[in-house]
Amino acid sequence: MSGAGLGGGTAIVGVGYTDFSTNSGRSVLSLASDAVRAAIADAGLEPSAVNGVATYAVGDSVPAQAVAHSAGIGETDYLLDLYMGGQAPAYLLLQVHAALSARLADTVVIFRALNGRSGLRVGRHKPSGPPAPAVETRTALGLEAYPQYIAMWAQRFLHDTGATEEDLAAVVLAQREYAQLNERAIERRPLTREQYFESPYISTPFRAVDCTREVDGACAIVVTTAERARSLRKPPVRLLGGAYAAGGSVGMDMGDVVSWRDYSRNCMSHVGRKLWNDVGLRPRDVDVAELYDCFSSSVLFALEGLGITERGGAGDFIRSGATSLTGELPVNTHGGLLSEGYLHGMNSLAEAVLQLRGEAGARTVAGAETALVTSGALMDGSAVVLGKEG
Amino acid sequence: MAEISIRRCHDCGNATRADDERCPRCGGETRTAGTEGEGVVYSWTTVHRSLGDSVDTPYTVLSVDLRAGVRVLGRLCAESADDRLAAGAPVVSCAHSREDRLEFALESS
Repeated sequence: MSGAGLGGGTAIVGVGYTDFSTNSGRSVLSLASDAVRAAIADAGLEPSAVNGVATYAVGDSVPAQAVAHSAGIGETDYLLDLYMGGQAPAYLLLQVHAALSARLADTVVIFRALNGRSGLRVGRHKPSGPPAPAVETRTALGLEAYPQYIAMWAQRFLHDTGATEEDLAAVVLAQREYAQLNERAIERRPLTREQYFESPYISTPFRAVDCTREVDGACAIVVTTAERARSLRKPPVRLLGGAYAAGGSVGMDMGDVVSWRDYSRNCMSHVGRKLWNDVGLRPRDVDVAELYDCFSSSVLFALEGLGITERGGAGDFIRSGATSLTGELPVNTHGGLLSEGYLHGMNSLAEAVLQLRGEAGARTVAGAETALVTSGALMDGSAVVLGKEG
Repeated sequence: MAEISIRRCHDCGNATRADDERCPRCGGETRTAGTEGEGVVYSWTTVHRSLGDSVDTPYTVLSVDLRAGVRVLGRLCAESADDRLAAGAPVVSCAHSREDRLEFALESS
């Protein structure tokens, strides 16, 4: 484990969740507050021991400041609100690492909270502010939401790599296997290949089962210095390294499918070039991977873009059983966002922590010492590698 | 075939998107320019379930690489048989194509 670009000086020491549901019947602030308090309690801390709050949202959540108040954190040295979606969680952890390194704060809670099913649903509410020209053009064409944008990437990916809908199916089926081992997952029903192909198209090549399940809920982690982490309740999970990359032609917003030249490669191809050098590991050295999966295709893009498999090889890799619980590299052990629910990837970061602490119940990967977490599936994205306390 | 509006940089001549007011290459002012509505399909999706205001499903949105070197989005013309729809398929803009909603037809072979 050479490299260790970040020196392992930052650690995750607490994890908290609310229930995930399709109708929480509660405010986003109460969800956020409960998950944050749960994460702080998990770390064995009192809220007053936390001095920073960071979050990300796309006009669908509550500000860090409100949660600092509601969760009883009180005096605060650090607040950060990123206007970002699924590309944020790993990036936000890196941002918090930077804040700890700069001594802006020493213990920060990161959360994501939303009523993603009963409240403001992605793609179905208009962001505030004047619409960008790119948005108006897309709206006039009926290209309005992520299933449709990413479908265009997926379609070209199938063409360029020789992958087929069987490869999309492989992702969904593999993750449903895991979901059966995860009581938190919103979609736990087993799925057969036949049922996959009976699922109706939403936006070709995506069927309903290729799309993430929107949920109401919240998830939080507590991040502190490695030094402080040693005296806390749970075994620390260290940040070994990470990267954020926005490719070369990011366009005007996350839905911009005009400027990006190569739809068959997303941000993960760019993240991969930085990540492994930074961490000092090779792609298959990690023991478990939680790969951002707003749609099934995102897992194929990440496996290939990060160099875990060769181009065009992700489907075969999954079908070989390599990503299953007893395989070479278990992937999306919580069932992914496809099954556990769409907390915009915050829950994939939390799942990696549970895995490295050996707290993932029946889906715990035996002996896992390092975990890869990715965030994002379009032009920009991020990834981190986490490790058990050595 | 209808002409399509893109923009060109007044300073360096770079062809840009229709919504680039400044040239991303040199920062120069861009001006509307017409170009031939010929290109090839880069990618597409057929929307079966709309999430927003559109109810006339299914419909197909194309990502088209124009000969001018610019990528644009447009609808696949409803009258255009889509059994030849594929990456690389040649398309031309339809007569009823509008500036705010381009439409393309697959070129007859």
